[in-house]
Amino acid sequence: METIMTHDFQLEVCDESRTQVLSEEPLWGVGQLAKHFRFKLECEGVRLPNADATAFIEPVIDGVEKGPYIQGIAARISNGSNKIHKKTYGIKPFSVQAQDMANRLVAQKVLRPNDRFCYLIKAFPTRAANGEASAPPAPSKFRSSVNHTPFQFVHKPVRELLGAVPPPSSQGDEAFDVYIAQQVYEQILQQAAESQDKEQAGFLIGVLGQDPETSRVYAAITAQTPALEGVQATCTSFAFSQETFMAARRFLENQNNPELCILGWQHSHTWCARCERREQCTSSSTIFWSIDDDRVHLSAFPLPFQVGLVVGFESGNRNHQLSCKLYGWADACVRERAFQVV
Amino acid sequence: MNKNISSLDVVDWNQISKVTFQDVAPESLVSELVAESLLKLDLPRNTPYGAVVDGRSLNGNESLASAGIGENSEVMLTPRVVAGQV
Repeated sequence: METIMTHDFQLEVCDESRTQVLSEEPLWGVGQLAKHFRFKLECEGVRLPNADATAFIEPVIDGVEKGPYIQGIAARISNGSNKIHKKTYGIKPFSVQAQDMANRLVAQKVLRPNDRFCYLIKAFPTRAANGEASAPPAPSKFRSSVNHTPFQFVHKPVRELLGAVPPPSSQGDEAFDVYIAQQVYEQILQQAAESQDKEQAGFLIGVLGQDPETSRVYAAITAQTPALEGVQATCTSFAFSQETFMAARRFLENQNNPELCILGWQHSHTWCARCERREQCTSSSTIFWSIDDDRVHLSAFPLPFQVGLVVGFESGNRNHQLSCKLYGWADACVRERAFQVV
Repeated sequence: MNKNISSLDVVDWNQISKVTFQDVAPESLVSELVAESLLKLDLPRNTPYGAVVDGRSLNGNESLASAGIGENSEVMLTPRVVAGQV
């Protein structure tokens, strides 16, 4: 699928009252909206032939905000015939980049650590769109072309992959279902239980499929591999290196099953496991999604079906029981989502 | 002067997106190739990415030729990221 950007986008960080622009830089990740929208359409049963489909990414400007500031970004996908699909995204998918800009401003002492700030996005027509662009693109010494492989759905009933009939789906509000094989789920809990002094993490492996009986798209997690190579773990952080990702790819290749792909990752938040006062603790759950988790997901697991499982202690249940929450993409942002253990 | 590399591919670690470079000077730096690939693949600019060829991590400061990247090489981009700090 070809993606055409009609505009260049710029991200601006301002003080809370929007009286002063503190920093601005080119917005990245805009093209990912086309992938998210395409996947959403596929989950809804819309078939888009890869060769003919074209995605356009364009700004949305409302009547209140005068250009170049925009209210959102629209993805428009045409399949070459008369049918055009369109979805508007707000500016929230770019909050991680804005937060990073604000962090740099804190380091430069332009902002204080807990200062509030706001972020805005501006759009300018590209040279190709209006013939006389505001600024020519930076020259590149490289000549290149980009190719995105379409998402491959395996057409099998989910029960065939999991070896059990899943209970009736409780994931109706989600664009697609996520199933975790019971054995895999137990392995992950076991790993977290055995590594309570430090965070542990791993890769979720499985099949992206479409059930021919229900037409529902699903991600079936049928295996996991712990992240062990080239990692650095503390009780509150887990660092992935190049070696970690290479090891995950080797694991996948050694499975000799072209249906398998990386469906996401898991990591634990168990820093309070050894605390002497844990049983009396009433503070909030350790199962949450941090802004650093957002960065990991955005950088390493950007595909619309990739998910992140967090293992930890629920509030008021810190005695022995570990529990999990699953997070995944929805409207190009990461949020908690439903899943079923089968 | 070495002959240019007529074609080489850079793929993201999920192996979904690929940039094919044509007619690349072998004295180009690995870091230049990585930076251009991040731009083309629209990957996050706030995350450090490295390059891997045949299971070897490459040094950004070395040239493609000294890194052993040649005709029809496939370079994989991998991020370096930290979870759960904040």
